[in-house]
Amino acid sequence: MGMFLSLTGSGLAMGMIYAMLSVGLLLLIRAVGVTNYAQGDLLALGAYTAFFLMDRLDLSGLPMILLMILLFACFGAIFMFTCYYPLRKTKWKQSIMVCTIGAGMVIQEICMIVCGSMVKPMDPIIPGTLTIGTFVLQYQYIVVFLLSILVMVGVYLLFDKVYAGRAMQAAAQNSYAANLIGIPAILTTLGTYIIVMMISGFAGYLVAPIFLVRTTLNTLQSKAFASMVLGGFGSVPGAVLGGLLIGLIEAYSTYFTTVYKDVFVFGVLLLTLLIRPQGIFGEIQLKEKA
Amino acid sequence: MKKTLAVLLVLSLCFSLFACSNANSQDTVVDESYWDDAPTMKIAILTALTGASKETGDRAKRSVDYAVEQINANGGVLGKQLEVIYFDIGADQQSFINALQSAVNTEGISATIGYSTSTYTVAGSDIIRESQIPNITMGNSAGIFDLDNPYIWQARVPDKIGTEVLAKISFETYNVKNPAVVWMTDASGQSQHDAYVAAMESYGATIAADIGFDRTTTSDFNPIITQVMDSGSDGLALFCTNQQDGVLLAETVKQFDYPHPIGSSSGNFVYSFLDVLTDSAADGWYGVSEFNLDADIPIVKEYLAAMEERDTQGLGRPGWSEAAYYDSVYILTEAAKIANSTNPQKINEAMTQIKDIQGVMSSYSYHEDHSLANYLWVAEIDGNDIIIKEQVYRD
Repeated sequence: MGMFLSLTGSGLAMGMIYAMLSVGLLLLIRAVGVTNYAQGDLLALGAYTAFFLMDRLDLSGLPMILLMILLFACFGAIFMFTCYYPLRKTKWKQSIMVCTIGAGMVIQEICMIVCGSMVKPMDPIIPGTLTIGTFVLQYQYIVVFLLSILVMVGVYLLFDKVYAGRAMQAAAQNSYAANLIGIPAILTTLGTYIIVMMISGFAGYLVAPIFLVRTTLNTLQSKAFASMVLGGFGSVPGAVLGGLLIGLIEAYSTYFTTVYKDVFVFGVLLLTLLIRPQGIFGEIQLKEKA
Repeated sequence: MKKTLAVLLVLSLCFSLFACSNANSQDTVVDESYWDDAPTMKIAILTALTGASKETGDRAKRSVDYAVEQINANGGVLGKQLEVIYFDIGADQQSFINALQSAVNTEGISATIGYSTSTYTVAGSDIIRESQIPNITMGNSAGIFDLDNPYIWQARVPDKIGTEVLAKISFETYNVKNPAVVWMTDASGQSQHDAYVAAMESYGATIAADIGFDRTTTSDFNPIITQVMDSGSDGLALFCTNQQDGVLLAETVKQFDYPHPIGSSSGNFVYSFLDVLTDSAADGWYGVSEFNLDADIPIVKEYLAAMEERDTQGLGRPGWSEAAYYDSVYILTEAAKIANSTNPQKINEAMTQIKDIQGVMSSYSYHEDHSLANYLWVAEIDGNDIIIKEQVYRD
């Protein structure tokens, strides 16, 4: 029983990380129609940024958090102006997607040049382990889960209650109409990129104490894609639920096999898509016959 | 105009392919007199100069450059200067294959050294065999022996021997009768796992948990260590690298506060690994160490002093890997002297006559299995220090 609860705890925490990544993916797809293949690298960039601020500049607490937010905003802007803005009017939309693949490689190399290529540990936000009988869970997992929920709630409130968020949604749905009514599409797109970078970067800061600061954190991206598809393409609640499910399946599968756990995860994904191809919360799109 | 440009483009492409296919190879360009007339002896060094393992490559370069300087200051090899050419193996197996191919295709290469990943060596075995250029690898898994490649030499004591020593001390010294085994599923991990399990079972021990993991895709070791905690084991054997998988495992095991003795493969008895861990996460681990920095051997002391002097990048204390690169340069030059030639085939034959060359990591002699190192050390980790207990010679 203790092991089951331990696996559930770690699964839920990782599920929220996948959810954050897939929500970020969805925001960009909705805003600019771009599938961002550097999403995992943005997470790694967040980890390296936090490490740089804590280890190299010896910052902590509120100053570190504020500077981290500022840096994430800058990175989001740089990402947008290098990978989207020059290509926004291209006739071949896949070029932006290809650009993100290249951007991912550049981000990895820059991180290694600045911080070194060896993996680096990072102190957890709350050190130690919660142990109750056979139930063992690092406090950092609990912190990840709770803070991720806060971030998701914040994103929901932004897009649902705040004018800026609604403006971004409007521009995402129809940028031409949004421009006509005075919503500058370029600013809303910039805002979306900054929010995506903040979500991904913050996720990187949360997972770094568990998984170390390393460029291979970008492999978490594949599970984020799986979460997005499982939950229903285009659905934010679906992305969150998909992330949680993927996290739990991954955790429980290690009870049976640690080598083939990814087979379990993607096997369940394939099975779900066979039965319900639109995902859990997705809707079947009916095409009108010409 | 467009048609002309298209034709020119196709012709350029054909010409480029033709030029590549006629790249110099040892068979067509180099003959026997070349080796006598060549002004230098060339050795190709295969290591990571870029990518996630760049620091490993920087360490190897630090050692190799020092060895080359020493050898050339002492007159070189057979009256020739020693020249090393570095080939970047990048971050994955395909990059290693490309680098290896490039190395053996480089004119005048007498031998190659590298890399430390057994899986890569196995993958590059055919290239080495066809090139007939001797390679000293830092990998030491049983899979390399099974290749029966006459041109591959192992600088280290074979995994099987080291792991059998680990099993012996686990059972006899640390009283482990019911261990949990956590091991990486690549060539090296499989080799160590098989040797350890076989040895422990021969002593009458039973394996409480046997958990493999893919070191390239596994990030979360919590489920694995949760199973270990639940297994009723009285000891833990870890077969991992000193890279991210080893660091993650060490940190996770520390978090769970595993209460029984923890044994580990020799790869983790290196300061570059210990210096990365938080709160001495590997404190108390035991195992076999391949490099004794405290050995009372003049060449070791001289080497350590030189590495400290040359440490401009903050690499810290050297480990077995870079010590093995250093020793490998000397082994090959010694083989060239025995062969009285820098011809790679003659050097390869002369390797069978290597006997008791005292190096930094170990002393080296020819063994039938094509491994060269003669001894290793039983060790324990105390805080962030490696404490050597005793020296163990292979039989």
